[in-house]
Amino acid sequence: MLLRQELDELYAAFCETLPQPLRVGARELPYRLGMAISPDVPWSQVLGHEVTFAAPALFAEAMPQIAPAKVRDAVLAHSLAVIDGFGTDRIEDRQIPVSAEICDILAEIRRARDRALTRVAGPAGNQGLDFAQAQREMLDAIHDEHRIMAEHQSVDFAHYERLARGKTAIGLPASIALARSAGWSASECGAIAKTLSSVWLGMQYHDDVIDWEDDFKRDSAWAIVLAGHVSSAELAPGMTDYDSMRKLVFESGILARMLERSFRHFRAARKRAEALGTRELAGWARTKENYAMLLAQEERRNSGYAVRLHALGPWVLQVLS
Amino acid sequence: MDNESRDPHAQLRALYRSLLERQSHFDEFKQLLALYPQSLADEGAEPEEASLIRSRLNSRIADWIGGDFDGLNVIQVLQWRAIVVEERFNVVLSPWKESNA
Repeated sequence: MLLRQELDELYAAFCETLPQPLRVGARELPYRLGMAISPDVPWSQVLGHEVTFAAPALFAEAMPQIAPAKVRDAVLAHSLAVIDGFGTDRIEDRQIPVSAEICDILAEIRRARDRALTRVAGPAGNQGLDFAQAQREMLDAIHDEHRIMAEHQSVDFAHYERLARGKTAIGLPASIALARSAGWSASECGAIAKTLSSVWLGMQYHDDVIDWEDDFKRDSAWAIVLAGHVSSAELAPGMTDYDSMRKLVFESGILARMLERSFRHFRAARKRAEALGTRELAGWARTKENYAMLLAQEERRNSGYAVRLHALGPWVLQVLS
Repeated sequence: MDNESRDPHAQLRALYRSLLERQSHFDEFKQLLALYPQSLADEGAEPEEASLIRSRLNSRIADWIGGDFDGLNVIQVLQWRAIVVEERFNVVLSPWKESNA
């Protein structure tokens, strides 16, 4: 709860630094990006997991000597990087119309993000650690993803994970900069990167399973891309209707395999988080690990289980709980 | 007839399990719900055609859960429709996607 409140306070303070004409748009950015149902919804209600917007704060649990101001700056840098990532992806994916105002706001976000990172690492301390490289990796991954979907290619898990790492590369620098500032060794900083990569991959697999039907409508379903690679079934050329694709997805068992990989990534994240002494993150990862394992088992027994569970979730909350 | 089969909450749980475990049940459930009106005009009075669809739905649910089923009322059908057909309660967060599960 505190981290969510801090996110909204940090973002509100950032908005106040903007030129007047950009402030309203920046405040309403979740809505402008199509991620919130009304203009007054703050980021804390849009981003589901604390690790997504406040990863550095979770690692700071194992850095007792670190100054709170450094942690706040790292959270600011991280959350702005993630927000920019959402915006960039939405624009690149043409899910929202490109406007000069949105582009200006995102540019301001990137500048504030970089300033915050420099405050964490110091002007000479962020060598080899900047968001620009991560930004390039993200854009390369997004473009590669578009190409794969447009050409209806099939790729293997290694390719999928390489792209997923690229798309989420911006989620690493702030946490690593904070760890360096706290005097952590290169191997410990490497463990942070691996932990976060596992977290992002675990989440990505899960989301690409439960959203595969919606993604199919936008011609960007990873479950189909991966199913095409693992399945021995031959699809007739041009056979891209929903029923054929669902048959491919179900018969290939790809959803269960994706969930098993989600489980393994969350398990890896949990083990590393435990080793680093970040108990809150480890506890969260354990919950996700257990849930992914359960989903994988049920999906193996009943194809489409995870999607149905997700679809019925709101009803359970309202009626059965 | 045991107590559980007359317990409306237990019946709803049985329906939920059935929908979770059988794609064909879920598909048919969704198809029938899609045929039902999105909302009812005239102070909630159910048109005859809608009533027939609801009866058909309740009959199918009774088949699936293998026992007595008291039946979904108008409000419940509208609620199910909003969730399953219109996905009104599911906000999808894609890009740098993240699940809320």
